[in-house]
Amino acid sequence: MRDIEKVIDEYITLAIPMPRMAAAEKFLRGTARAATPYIMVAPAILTLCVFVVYPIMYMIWLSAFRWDMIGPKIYVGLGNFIELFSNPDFYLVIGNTFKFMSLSVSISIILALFLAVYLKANTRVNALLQSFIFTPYITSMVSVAFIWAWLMNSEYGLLNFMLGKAGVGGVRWLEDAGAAMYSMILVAVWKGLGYNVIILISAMRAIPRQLYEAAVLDNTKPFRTFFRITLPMISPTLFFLTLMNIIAAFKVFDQIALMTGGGPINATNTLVFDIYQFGFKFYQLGYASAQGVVLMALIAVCTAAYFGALSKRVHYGGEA
Amino acid sequence: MRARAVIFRAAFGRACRAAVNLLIFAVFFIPFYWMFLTAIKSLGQTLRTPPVFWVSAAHWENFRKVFDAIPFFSMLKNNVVMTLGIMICQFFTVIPAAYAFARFKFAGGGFLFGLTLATMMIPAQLVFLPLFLMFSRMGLINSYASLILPWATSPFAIFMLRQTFKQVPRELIEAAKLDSASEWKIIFKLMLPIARPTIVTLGLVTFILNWNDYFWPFVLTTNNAVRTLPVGITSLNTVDGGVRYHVLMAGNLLLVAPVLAVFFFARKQIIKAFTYMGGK
Amino acid sequence: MTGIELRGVEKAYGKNPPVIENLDLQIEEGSFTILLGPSGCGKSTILRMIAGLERETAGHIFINGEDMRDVSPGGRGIAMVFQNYALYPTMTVKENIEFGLKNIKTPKQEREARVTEVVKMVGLTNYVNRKPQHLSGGQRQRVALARAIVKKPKVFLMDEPLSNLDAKLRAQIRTDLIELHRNLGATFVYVTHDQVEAMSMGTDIVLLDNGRIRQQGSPGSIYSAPRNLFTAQFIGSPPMNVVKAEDMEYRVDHAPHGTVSLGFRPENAVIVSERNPSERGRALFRGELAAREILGDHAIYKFKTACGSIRAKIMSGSTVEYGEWFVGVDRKYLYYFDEKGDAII
Repeated sequence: MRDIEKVIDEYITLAIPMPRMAAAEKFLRGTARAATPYIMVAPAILTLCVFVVYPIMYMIWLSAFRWDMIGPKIYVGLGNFIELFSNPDFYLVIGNTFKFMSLSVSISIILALFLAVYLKANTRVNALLQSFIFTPYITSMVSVAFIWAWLMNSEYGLLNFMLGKAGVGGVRWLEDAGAAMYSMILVAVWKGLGYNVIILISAMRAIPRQLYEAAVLDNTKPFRTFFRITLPMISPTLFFLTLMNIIAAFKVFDQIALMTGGGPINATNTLVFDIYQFGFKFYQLGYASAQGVVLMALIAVCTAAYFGALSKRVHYGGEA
Repeated sequence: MRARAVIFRAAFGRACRAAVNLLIFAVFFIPFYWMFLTAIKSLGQTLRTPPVFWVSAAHWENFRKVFDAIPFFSMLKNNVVMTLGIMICQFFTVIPAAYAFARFKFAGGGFLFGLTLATMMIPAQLVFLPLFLMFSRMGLINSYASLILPWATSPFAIFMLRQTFKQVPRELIEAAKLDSASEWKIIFKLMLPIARPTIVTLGLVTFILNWNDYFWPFVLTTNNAVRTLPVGITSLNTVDGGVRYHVLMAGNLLLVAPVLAVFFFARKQIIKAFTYMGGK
Repeated sequence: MTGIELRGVEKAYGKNPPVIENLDLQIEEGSFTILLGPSGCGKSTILRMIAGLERETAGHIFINGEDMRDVSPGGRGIAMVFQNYALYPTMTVKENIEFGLKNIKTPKQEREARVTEVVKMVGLTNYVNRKPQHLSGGQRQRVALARAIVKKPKVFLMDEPLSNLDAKLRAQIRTDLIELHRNLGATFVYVTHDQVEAMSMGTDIVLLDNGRIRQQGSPGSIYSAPRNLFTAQFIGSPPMNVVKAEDMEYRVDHAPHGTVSLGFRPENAVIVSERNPSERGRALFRGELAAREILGDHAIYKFKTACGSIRAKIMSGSTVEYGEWFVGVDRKYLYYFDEKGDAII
């Protein structure tokens, strides 16, 4: 008897249109579940599309036109690029940009390596010095630029006074076409050094102590220990840091605009500053966009080279 | 003899270290000291040779001159609005996106994450021209919108937070499911509390970098309506014409003082935060 | 049908061949069932399917007669203890324990009472406001247990919960778990690769290999009546000696038809200095003593013989010197296996 009841029960459950409703509900819930991740990433992705992807496309499109912001846009195809690459001033600007980038990055990284080794030990004095070195990094470039413009003032500046005390003649830090770029590099290194130092110190502190203990037991000279243990162990960090420094150097603008205005006679005119000049001072928006495309290409090449090298390392060196 | 040589070498080493420490200290401290000193000097004192290394009576009127020359407090307000606006926007765009990228497998998810990573390398200096044109077409130059919206999300923050979410052991989420926790509860009671240190770190770094930013408010404003302090300070450069470094440094001091004060009290956390950002 | 039943269960990941195929398993209500096997045998997967953390690709899982196919992990009336405990790191001990009760909206009064009781039961009363990172390994383990107990589940699932503890603590918690099982009267399903844990705690052992059940039974029957070579060699410490019949120097004349290999447990071996031809019905091996481990109450000797290494576990008596010896085993202690590795009974 019981069994028969059970069978009937099951039959009734199957017969009424319940399953359909359940299916509809299931479908709705499934759709909601499937939509959730899209809803969650939407604000970020939309923001990126509107404020990064679209402007980039617009810039590339604009680089094919001649436009002064008021008149009509005149299509010139690659005209802006032809003009760009036949303009000696552009090569000067690119040269300046690369000079600034290569010198500021290499000096900063090498100095940071020295300082990181020097300050690696976790003592109170080292922590304090580390903080001092790091302070310019969290200070606005506006302040840093004005402080150094004041220090580098050729008549009343502290730097020239100290050089005078040391028996060296004054330097026209920002007014001399030969010196201005080096002054820019000095300021950039002073501001950015702290970041490189703290990153390298943390990378060095992450190296297992046993490696150094083994090196001591093997009577390794400190110099060799650095090149055989420290440097290889921090190389992924060093590599990444260099890329970050290079990109940061390519986009230098604030200190140029505030300290030299690209001068004297274009000696410190770098790419982003030039884009700004052509866009906002001379209203040659197509030309400025073409320069923007060149900057983008430079950043893309460096990034691609970084990831290319990274994947190669992973490939040949086993685990990265 | 040998022992004395060892003692001598140790002393020599200590002396060398002290000298180097002093040099580092001087190189990174003196410029700030010079800023502070100049800010309380009179015009005459700034122009003296040899320079004045100590002033007995501070010229506080330099700061008044700053307030006279620029709408300091309105600019300070603009700085706060811009920085907080960016942080609040990022809070609501970064956290859900990072969570979705970390926890859900969905069609196109890989592509969208790739897109996010690709935009990570694109700096403001590359998009300011088209964005300026875009905002000017919409009449949004000199508006908070043009200062905040372009930075309403951060691909870098999404990436970092996604890593944090991904590192949460699978068993924790499973344990929560066995505890009858809904997805909602898992997010708010489990995942967000675990990610809190990362979120605080990202917030700290976002705050400092945007508070100091000069480039963006500079290119996206043409008047003082929404101009921020870093841009405002630069107009002190030309007060009265000629070299007016005492007023400029006074303004400068007002600009850096809050950040330096925060740094003084939260040194360890700030250095750790920036270290964490570069640790990838 | 009470307890847990798996019927024709299959589990495959992606397009790979299934790791578990057509598995039938019955777990008695109130039993302390051990899923035992080497790593990769599928024991954790089975446990996770019972918990609902992984979905079976075919077949059905019943808990107390109810099909669990569309029941969420939280709705199955089970609790689980994870190998790494999976304590919520941002919550205190108390919050960890009451999280599950809060989620099912247990009234505050009852919740408080249950948490207090459980905390007392596992001896963590003084630690309720600590975060997991400030607890020792053993304390964390007890929090994980408390978090399971407080839900009063009909079924406890445990995935190698002792493997992160040191040996001494492990032994202590083994006893605690046996007591706990007796007090609660719930069904325990416990995954481990450690046969000592299995033998000491289980009322029912399911021995698994490659996603298949090799033998299921009480610890006693699994030990004394292994149905195949796998079981024979997995259970026991040291494991059963197995030799090929054809390699033996002194044949055993009473082996049943079809015998390919013979087995005997080290604890049933005796060491003698001479061969006594009158002793019929005793398997005998001549061997060189290669290593000895003196372990206090007993000693383990390893001999090199014509048919490979043989171990003997001798409970007490004088230490055997290095040299040539005979190892003998009484007929009643011999096991016979055919060419497929199945026991001949």
